[in-house]
Amino acid sequence: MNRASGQLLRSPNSPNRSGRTPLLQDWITLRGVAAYTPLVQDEEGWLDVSGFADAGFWIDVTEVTPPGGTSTNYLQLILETAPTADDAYFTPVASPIWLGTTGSPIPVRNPSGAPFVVRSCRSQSTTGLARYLRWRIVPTGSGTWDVTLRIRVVAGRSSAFVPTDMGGCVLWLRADLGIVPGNGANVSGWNDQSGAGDSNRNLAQSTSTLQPLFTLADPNYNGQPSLNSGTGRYLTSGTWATSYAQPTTTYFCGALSSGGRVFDGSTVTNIRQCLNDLSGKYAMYAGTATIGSSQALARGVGCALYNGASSAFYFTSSQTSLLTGNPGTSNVNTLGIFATQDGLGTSNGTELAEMVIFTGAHTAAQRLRMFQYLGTRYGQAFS
Amino acid sequence: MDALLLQDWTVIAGASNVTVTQGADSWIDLGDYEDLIFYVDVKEFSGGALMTYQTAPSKQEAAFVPLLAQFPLANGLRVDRAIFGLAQVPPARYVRWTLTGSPGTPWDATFRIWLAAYSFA
Repeated sequence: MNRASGQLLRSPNSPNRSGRTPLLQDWITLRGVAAYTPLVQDEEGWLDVSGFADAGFWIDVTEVTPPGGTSTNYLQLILETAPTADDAYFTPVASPIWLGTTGSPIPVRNPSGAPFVVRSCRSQSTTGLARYLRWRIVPTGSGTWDVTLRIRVVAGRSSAFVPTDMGGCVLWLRADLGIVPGNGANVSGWNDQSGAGDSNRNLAQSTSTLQPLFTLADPNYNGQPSLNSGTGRYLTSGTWATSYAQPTTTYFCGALSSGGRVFDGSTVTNIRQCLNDLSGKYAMYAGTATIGSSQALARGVGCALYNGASSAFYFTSSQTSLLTGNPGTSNVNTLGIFATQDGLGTSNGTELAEMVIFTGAHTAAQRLRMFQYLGTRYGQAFS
Repeated sequence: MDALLLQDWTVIAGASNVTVTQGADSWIDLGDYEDLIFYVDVKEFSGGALMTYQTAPSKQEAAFVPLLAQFPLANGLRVDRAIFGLAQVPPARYVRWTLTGSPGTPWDATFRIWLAAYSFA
């Protein structure tokens, strides 16, 4: 086997060798029991992706039997990467893919005749593409399970953009990363991917009936995952290790409902950077006054620049501010999603697919870069 | 950068709700191209039809997924970008188009599609 060629190789004579779109795993049915799992792809099947920076995975799953045949059990398919062919070095290259059947306690991918596509990602939960690729299957629950699948790789030499590529990223929430499943379709936690290393930036909700709702493949967001406040559901962070002074620039892709809020800080300390509804328009508050923009409530890509009297709000267009006024000069050091950080002012039907906070006032070019990223990823208009 | 002709001038017609998919002989094998810019030039259409660019890592019908969001045909030149570093579904090995008619009306369209394709190999 050639491990030093820098090519996508399994074997020089392998029929699966096909440029930058090789098979990581041809059709296979795997069966196991909990005592002998996780099940890891054999080394002979690993792909050497030296020379490539990022990858997409076309995954076909045509059959799943959850452990014990119990619909409340499920399987995790984990795509892993490592810089060396050493078992200890493999880490996830994308979030775990939950496979199951109707009745699963968490949102799962059901068997289908059509593939779904997953991308590698550099974040706190996942590592960028390294030299080797392989799969691992981890069952949840006891009993015999099986799955029939195929995995094809589309490798690229250009890196996929992530918000942490830009300096000053202090919080990054993306609905396909760092999700902690709650009960049913609920989300009990949403972990920061910025790499700040501050666990108080992770969001949580321990009360089941207050946990936001999770949609695994939301048609309103280009088939990507999203969170919804439902009726009065929300997540809150702790108090961050660092309190960030203005200017700060916050991006989001989501939809604000009537009377709701996308995010907010603490009403106890009144250290707040808030984006909420005011008379049917997006509005900003930062400790002094709620300033309404001219943007009506809608689904899309937006940016709130908190900068005292120079604060601005952008929606769809990254170049034209829709807000005039001074919402205040408050820092950001806590966060509530769909409510204040102390659980007030809850929302009914507010959505969020991704949110990113940067320190500093972003330039028009930086805003356009982020709008390109969010708009393209979630199928939203931008300019 | 290379310019690739995904579809030379053609007229396609269909009944309502009917989907026409580009013939397999005309699909483009992207090889090492990773970034694509689509230029669709529509000279005439009637009845309304939705175009989708699709991509797949293998020449297999079931492997094709939408590369970009579906859009309605309109007269004139339309430019769409599928960039590996941004797209949730990256350009894979094969690219093709499909046209789907609107409910209730037959449709037709005259168009041509060029691709500007970029490689980083």
